Amino acid sequence: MATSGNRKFGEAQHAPGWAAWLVVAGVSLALPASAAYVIRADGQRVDGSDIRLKPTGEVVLTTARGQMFFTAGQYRQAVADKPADYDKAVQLVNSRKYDEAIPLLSGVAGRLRGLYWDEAAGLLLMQCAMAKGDGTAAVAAYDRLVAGNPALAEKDNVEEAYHQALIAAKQFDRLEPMLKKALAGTSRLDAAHAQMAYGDLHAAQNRLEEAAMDYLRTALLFRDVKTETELQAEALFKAGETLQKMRDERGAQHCFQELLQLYPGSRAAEKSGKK
Amino acid sequence: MLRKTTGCQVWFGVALMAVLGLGGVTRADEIERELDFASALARFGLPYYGSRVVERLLVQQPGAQERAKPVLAELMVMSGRLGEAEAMVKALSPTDPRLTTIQLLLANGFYNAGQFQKTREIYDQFFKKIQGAALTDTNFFRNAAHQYGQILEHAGDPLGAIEAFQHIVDLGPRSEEGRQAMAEQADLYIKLADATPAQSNRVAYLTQAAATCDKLFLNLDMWFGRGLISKANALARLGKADEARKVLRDQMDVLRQIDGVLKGQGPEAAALSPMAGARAALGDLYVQEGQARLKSKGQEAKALPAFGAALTEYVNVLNKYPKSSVAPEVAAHAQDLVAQLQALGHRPNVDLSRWAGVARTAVFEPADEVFRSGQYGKAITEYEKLLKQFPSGAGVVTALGNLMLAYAHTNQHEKATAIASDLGGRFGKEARAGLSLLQLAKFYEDQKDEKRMLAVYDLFLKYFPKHERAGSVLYRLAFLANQAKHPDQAKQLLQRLVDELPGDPLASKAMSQLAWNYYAGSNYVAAIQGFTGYLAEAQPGPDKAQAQFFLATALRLTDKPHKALAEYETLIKWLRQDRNAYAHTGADLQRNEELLEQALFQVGVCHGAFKQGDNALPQHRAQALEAFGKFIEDYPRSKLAPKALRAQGAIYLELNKFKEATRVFDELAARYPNTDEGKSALYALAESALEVRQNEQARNALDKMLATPDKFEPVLFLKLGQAFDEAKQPADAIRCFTVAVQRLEGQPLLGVALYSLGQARLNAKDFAGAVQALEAFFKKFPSSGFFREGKFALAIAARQAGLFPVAEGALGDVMRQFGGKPDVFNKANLELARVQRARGAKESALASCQRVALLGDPQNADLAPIIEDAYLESFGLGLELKRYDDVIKICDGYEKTFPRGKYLEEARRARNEAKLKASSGG
Repeated sequence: MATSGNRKFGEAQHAPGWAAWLVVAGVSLALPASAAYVIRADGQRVDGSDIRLKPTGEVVLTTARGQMFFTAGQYRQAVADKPADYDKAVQLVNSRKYDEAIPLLSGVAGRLRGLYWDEAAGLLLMQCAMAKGDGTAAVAAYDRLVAGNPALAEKDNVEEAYHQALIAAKQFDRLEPMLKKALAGTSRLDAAHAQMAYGDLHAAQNRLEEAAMDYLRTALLFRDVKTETELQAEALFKAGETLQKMRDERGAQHCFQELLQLYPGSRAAEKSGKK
Repeated sequence: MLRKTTGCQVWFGVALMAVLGLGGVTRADEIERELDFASALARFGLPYYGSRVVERLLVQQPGAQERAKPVLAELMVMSGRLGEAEAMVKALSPTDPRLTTIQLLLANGFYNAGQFQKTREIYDQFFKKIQGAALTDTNFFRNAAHQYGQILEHAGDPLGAIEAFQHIVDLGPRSEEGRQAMAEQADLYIKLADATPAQSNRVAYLTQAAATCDKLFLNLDMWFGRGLISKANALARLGKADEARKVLRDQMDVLRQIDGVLKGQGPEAAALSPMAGARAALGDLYVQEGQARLKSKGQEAKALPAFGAALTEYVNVLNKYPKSSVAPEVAAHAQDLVAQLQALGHRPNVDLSRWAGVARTAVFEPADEVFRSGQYGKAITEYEKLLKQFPSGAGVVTALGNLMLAYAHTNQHEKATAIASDLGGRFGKEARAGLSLLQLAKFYEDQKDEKRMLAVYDLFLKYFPKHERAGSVLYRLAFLANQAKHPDQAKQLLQRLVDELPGDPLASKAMSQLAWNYYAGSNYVAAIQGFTGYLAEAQPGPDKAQAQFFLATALRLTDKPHKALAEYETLIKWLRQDRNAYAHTGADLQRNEELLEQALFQVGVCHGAFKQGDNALPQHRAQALEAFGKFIEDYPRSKLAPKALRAQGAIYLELNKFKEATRVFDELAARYPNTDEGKSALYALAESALEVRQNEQARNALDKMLATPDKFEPVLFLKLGQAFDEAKQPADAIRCFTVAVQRLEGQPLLGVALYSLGQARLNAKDFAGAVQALEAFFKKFPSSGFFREGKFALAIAARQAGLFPVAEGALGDVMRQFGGKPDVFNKANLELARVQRARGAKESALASCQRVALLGDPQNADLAPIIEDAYLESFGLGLELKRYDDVIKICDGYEKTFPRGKYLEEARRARNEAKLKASSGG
């Protein structure tokens, strides 16, 4: 798993949790300005009027001074001009017209592979599938996305969306090895998120006690990951909800009270007020 | 800052964190991670789940038992299982790095449970061990000293508390913790002074208090303020009220600065401001001044301004520092002052009504402390006095609860019960009141006073039926009822839980328990319902696995093999694919293995249970063979393996696959020679063959058995004879019974064998042989349970064999024995009639028949068939005796008596014949 600072934990719900990365898709993708450009390995931005990705992985940027070529390793990001149908697709998604949005987004993802918009469109495609209750289609959307651009598999937000899609598609056998690897890895950040995802996985399998324990592990064992207080708050909230499903009202209320005490300003604390 | 405890609860986390580490520190070792998690759950306040984590860990990693012990001890302490925790702590290695922490945790647990002596022992031992040693963790030591100091203070040992706090001061008097400790010491010296009657001691303590306070004035912080207040209090008590007031007033500006800083840090910090205490102390000083002036002649008028100033300070504290620790006491003092002023004829313009509750809380606090220190007699006196004064309002529920427990501790049980009823009657909506009753029940349980314990539980359920703990009380009472072998009572309690508290965590467990109870009582239909309901809600676990097995079995026992099969297969899938989810301990895993084995066997049984007429019968039989075959392969040493082989053999027989059947039974005898099935394989073959009506196969097996009869238990011949008899194979039955009689000579079952032989010979129409066997039976067993049936059989056989005296003798025996039973007597009479007929005494026979026909009660359901038979005999006898008129009357009589009788046709024919013969003179 990547350790980018790209990870955000949005308003989360129980499995499949697609709403979480709805926020992620919208917020963390700081939408680029028009026209094409490349961010070089040294951080410098080079603007152009046109850009394409060759099958070899080489990026060709057309600038005022002619064409510039960037091989893998020479650039951090290559971004195409925002396609016209992307905004329309976003509008359709927001209006819940998923069947109309899907062809547009598929087109964008196919045409602009490796040029930023495939990631955005791919995430939205997954979101559409999840919104339609079709986890299998969401997983397929992910598979197509990373097949066209393997580097996306390393991105935190894509990975999290993929986890939720696998849960929704009940493809637990595919998800579990990934989570185990993250838990055993050296990144505390990734481990915290993997632990939370484990909770969602077990909840989806109706293994409630195990789910509650996973959420509590997230809340209690990852307090050193200071950037993820929203995650820990959400974990406490989910632990409380799961204990309620297990009919342990006392345990549930204890979790909610601790949540209010430890993370009073969190989104989860607001939700727990209604419990 | 060292956290002050409130009430009797002692902070666990502070001491623990220092050694066990803050949450979030992970280690490569997965076992340690899980143990850390369990410990974190305990600290978080969910020790039950911590225990579950450890249980699961030990199932997966049994070798982790030693490493888990400290965490288990911690969990036990947090769960209140102090006895077990103590034993576990004693067993820990002295070099275990967590040992001291767990020991102190245990000490705190004992304190919370009121076992102060044990608390003291552990802490004293700790400080003794530490003395002189270099400290590796000063924070831990400081926290421990502080906690102990607070415990000693609550327990009424202020000198001990001072000594404990001195450990902290010695570590660094200028540190914040050191200064806090000194502030607490100063207050304790004042408490000591208040409690001691000897003047010299009082002065010494107060002087010490003041001196300690002076050390606090070196820094400007919260403790500076505390020092000021304490010094003022000490000076006031030394009679230096003016000096006390001066000390406070002179430093008011400094106190305001500190107050301002703390307010800026938020409401929690503001509540700690020394300004509240200072103003409260000033108020008290003004009151003292006022009281003094009231007592001095000529000074009475000056008392009022002093009281007014006091009231101003009090109201100031209540309005500006409502959350401060002095607010309750100030509220109480303000109320007292207002009351005093009113008594003096004044009407202070102040409304203290909104502080009444706060005041009351403070009022009970001293009595609560006495109770917590275990001085129950003294606590009773205090509470009784206070409750007379304050019978209702804030703090009363706790006070009543403590008083009730104090009565119980001092053997005043009727008073305790009276308070329990009062609590329930008046505070039925307050959960705290319910909890008090549960504490009382627990007390009686610990005292092994079951009667009182149950009485308290009854009160609890009466007054708090919807309490959050009501479910667990009902469940516990059901458990006790089951133990006391009152299953109906247990069922009632469980049903109440399920019906009235469906949302309770124990509701589904109760449903499961109800189902078990029904199952145990063979009410399988109700059990099926119960298990189904439980399984729909239960989470994976050992109970769920067991319930699933018994659901399947109940379905099988109620003849639903389709459904039973589906449920067994579900269980098998669970236990194979997810064994850990259904086991919490090693014992659970073992049990589940046994369940799996049984379920696999039962799959074969279910396939074998489908009845003729089921379209898929051949497939089911094939699947049964396969299932049993697989079972024997996988579990060759199981006790069920020989049964599986036998079942295979029976199925082969049913399918007319005799070679296979024989092979299987031979294999049974060879592989399991020491099992019942193995020892009696041939018998099993014969019996199974008879069950499926393969009589020839059964006969062949019998032939083999008879070739070496000594190899078989004699009772097997008896059983096989009965099976042949039921299959209406009398000749083979006779062969079996003959051997049984020979082999059972001198044994109790000989009677059964002789009787059975007699009956079999009778069925085979070997009447002489039947008489021989039955006479031998009655010679050896003149008064057995088969007397009646045996005598009738003998009479019939003897009649048929022409041995009329024997027949008549047997019937005479029956009539003598059963003269009072009309059905038996009349049956014997009818049989006698047949004997008489057989030996030619037809007149006597007809008379005997008529006696039965006319004297018997046709409405008696047992007698009616005998009477009808008597009529039938009469028809024939009458015609043979040419008593045609009598025959006509008898036939008419029969038709009248039995208008729907079974011999109407015979009666009609007999009458017609009689009429014809009468008219023709024949």
